[in-house]
Amino acid sequence: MDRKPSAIETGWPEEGLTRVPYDVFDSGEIFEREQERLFRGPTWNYLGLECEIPRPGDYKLNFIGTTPIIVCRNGEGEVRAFVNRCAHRGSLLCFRNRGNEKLFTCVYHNWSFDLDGNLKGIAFRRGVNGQGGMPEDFDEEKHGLEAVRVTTRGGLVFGTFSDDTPDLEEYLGPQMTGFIDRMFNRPLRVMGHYSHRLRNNWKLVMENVRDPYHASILHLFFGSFGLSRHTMEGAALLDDSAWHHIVYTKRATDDISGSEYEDGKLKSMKSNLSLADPTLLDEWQEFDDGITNMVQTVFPTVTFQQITNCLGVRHLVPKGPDEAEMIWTLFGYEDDEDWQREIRRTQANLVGPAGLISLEDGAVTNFVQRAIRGREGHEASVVEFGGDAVESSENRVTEATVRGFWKGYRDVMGL
Amino acid sequence: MDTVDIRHRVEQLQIDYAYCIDSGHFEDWPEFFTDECVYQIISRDSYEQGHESGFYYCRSKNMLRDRVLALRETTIYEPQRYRHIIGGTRILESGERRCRAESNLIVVRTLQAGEMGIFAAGAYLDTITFESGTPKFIEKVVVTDSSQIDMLLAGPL
Ligand code: FES
Ligand SMILES: [Fe+2]
Repeated sequence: MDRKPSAIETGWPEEGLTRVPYDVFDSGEIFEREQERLFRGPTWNYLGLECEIPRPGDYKLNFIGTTPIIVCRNGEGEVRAFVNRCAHRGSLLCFRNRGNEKLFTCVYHNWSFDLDGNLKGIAFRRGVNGQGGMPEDFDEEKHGLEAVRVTTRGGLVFGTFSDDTPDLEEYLGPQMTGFIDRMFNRPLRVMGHYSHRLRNNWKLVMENVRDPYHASILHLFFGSFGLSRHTMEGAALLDDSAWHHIVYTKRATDDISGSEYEDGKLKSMKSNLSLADPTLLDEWQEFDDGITNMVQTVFPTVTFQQITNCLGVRHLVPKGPDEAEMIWTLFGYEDDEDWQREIRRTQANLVGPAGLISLEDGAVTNFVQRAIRGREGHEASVVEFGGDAVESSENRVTEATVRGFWKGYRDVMGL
Repeated sequence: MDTVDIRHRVEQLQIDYAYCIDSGHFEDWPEFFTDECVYQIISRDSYEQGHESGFYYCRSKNMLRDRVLALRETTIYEPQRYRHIIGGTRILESGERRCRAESNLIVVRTLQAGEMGIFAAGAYLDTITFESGTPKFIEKVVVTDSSQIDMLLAGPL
């Protein structure tokens, strides 16, 4: 396709973070730069949950950007991660999504690697009958797997390619770290796992999850059944770098009188609806702070959510300029009682690609991808709700959290 | 009932069920279930690992009705159609009052622009009661072979 020069050449619009050039959502050149500067740059990328690899030798596969990654537990019980690419001629080393191995052995020519990524064996190393084989001076130590620096907190595993990435706690700041500790406070148990193929650029998804503006408007179920309205107490938080965000709501504080919700101006409010089986929304107050909905992102691509008692991780994997995959892991705690598990399970109806309050997200992000085609020049989206502030606020009537994403993006991408 | 009879009734139920969804008569969909029922859509991988949560989980006919309410009143998505192909039904267990059956399913989804493709492939794990004359599902677990959903899963499978 004939491409106009992207924002890489033309620069970011002079308005700054209140404008986002549409190029960033479909340029192949920008996509390539993201792999190099963002995913291989100074960012912590979600790799999985420790409870998914409880024993030595357990592994699971994931991605950082487009790079395939193996996350495993070594013989000493420590979490390790490597690029899932054989050091011989580049085959995928593991091709099952999860398993347990003492050694990772490549199927192509049987090179094998230990759980710390060291090259341990080469088939026919000494040749056959004195002929062929690897040169005498071939140094195995220089041909291990490419390692990823790993850190863990509260059972979460993150990885980075860069030595410049600060410690996770510094990366997140105290408030964001505190929210992680709030939800990841004891051993987890996975309750569900699925993926969602999105036909749009990954950043449209990150804008969407960081956008409190749309939640009670697009998702009619949300507003109609009083799960979240702008009239409820809540906040939109950013850390000092603005890279990470949290939006939360306290449902018990709703008062719609005098608002656009009350006089029915908003299409999003269908107050005549009622559920035939209200146990769909059964819940218990799980956290002392009264927060009933909480969405937290860690830049660049992971989201932690609490929708009442439905807890989950959404990890976004870019697949190309106009395609992405959202990998969902729903969880509870090991010490959950049966009734709690049943409530979490029922509330899972609210989320995911079939979710009563999230199904529309996969549609609208695709609508943007389709609508930005065939543009004239360097049109940009308008992200000006709540002004141009890029800071925390005690209300959610703002796009500051979206602007924060673009701040992080521009910091790292040099755009 | 002999096994030919049971097989015939189960297959007829599946045909009517598929017609109901494919023709967009969602309001009739809960009527294929008993008042106390379980309807779930879950991936094969999750099902085999014993996970509780999947894409849909309804544990009463009223919850099915609420899904229909949401489809009609609150859910927003582009017009699309499903076409179910159900076959290969195996009767796993049967008695006078109920049976368990497993069937294959493929759902082709057609979007309004004309794009069509296999949206889901998998199995129905059904428990069916014959007690009220018309057979009804006590439990229907839709196990999808893929863990991935393309864009969104609105209507039931
Ligand atoms: S590519 Fe792995 S052993 Fe050859
Ligand atoms: Fe949303």
